Amino acid sequence: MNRSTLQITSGALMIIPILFSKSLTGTFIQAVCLIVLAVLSGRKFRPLPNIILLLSVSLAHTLQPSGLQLFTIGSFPVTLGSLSIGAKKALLLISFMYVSHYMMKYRPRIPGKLGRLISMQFFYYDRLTTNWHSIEQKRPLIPAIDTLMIEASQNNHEIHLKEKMDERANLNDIVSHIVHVALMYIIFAIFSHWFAHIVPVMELLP
Amino acid sequence: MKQQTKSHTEARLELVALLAACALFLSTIEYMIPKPVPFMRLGLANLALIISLGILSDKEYFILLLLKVIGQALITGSLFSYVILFSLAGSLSSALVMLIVYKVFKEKVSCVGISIAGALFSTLAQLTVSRFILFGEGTYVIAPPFLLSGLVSAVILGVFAQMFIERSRWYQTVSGAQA
Repeated sequence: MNRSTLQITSGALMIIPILFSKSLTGTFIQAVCLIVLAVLSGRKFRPLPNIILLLSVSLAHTLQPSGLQLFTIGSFPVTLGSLSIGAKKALLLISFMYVSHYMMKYRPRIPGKLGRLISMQFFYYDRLTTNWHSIEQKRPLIPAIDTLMIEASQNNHEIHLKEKMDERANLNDIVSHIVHVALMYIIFAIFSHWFAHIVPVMELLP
Repeated sequence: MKQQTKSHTEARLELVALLAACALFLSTIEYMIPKPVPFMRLGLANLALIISLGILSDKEYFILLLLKVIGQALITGSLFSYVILFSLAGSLSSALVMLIVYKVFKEKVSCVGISIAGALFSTLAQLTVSRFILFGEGTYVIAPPFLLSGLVSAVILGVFAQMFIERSRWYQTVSGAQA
């Protein structure tokens, strides 16, 4: 199995416990674990957009009151139910974002004509980014982009599509991916109802 | 003759790939600009679509659109996330509207008009998606700032595209070769 296939398969397997998690705390822990996994896969983590997403989605859901009323802003009631539904939804979306980052660690190869076009696109993309750094005068912007496009389109019939070789996964890769997937299922199990029967204190968590 | 046709087709595909790469390059620049919410877009990558209206056929234009959406998702890692839905809805609706506006009004409309029409429909499509998967009924609260920011960035983008078309040597060469 190739590394990209292994990465996508493990990510796809992780989606199941994320999707079926009923506990807010469980979803939060899953999201944190996914962020850590995505960062370990070489992706950047920017906290501010995630915090804003969490706050904005939670606040937007307060417009539909449900459950225990916490307080009122003017005549508008802020309820626990709507806040937790919003937070759960936002955490789910954040989890999906980072599981996607995790799955895309190695660029998957798409077969056929579309795949060839995408390879060509990335070839030119590499050319544009490389040439952009070598352009000394980046201002004014229009002549700079014009130069960039002219340079990139030169000798376009002699394209040698260079792609990173998609290496085969070794035993270490397989074991680490099994651990990642297992981690998600363990968190799901710990915060599920049947575990709360064994450890009643879990019932107290949202 | 057959060889010539093939090399012409190949050259056209390379032009589409170059424009798609340009869209990707611009979306990378956009990705680096901090945004208050992750799905909010300035639409810099739409510049490639606006420019391509005068140089690509309808089929090539939609191939460019497809490459733009997939390429952006691959670069940002959002291929399997909810962000792809926003990207698809926004790109598809704006591309379709920009093409219709361009075909109907031809020289009577500038890049600014095309860009505004595209941005308006892109924002509306994204608000519809957010109504169902993000904010629910609360979407109407975020609609005005979204429409306003979309309008402002569309005007800037349209002016930039118009200036690029008028001044670019690359564009003159490509459009001249097509004519």
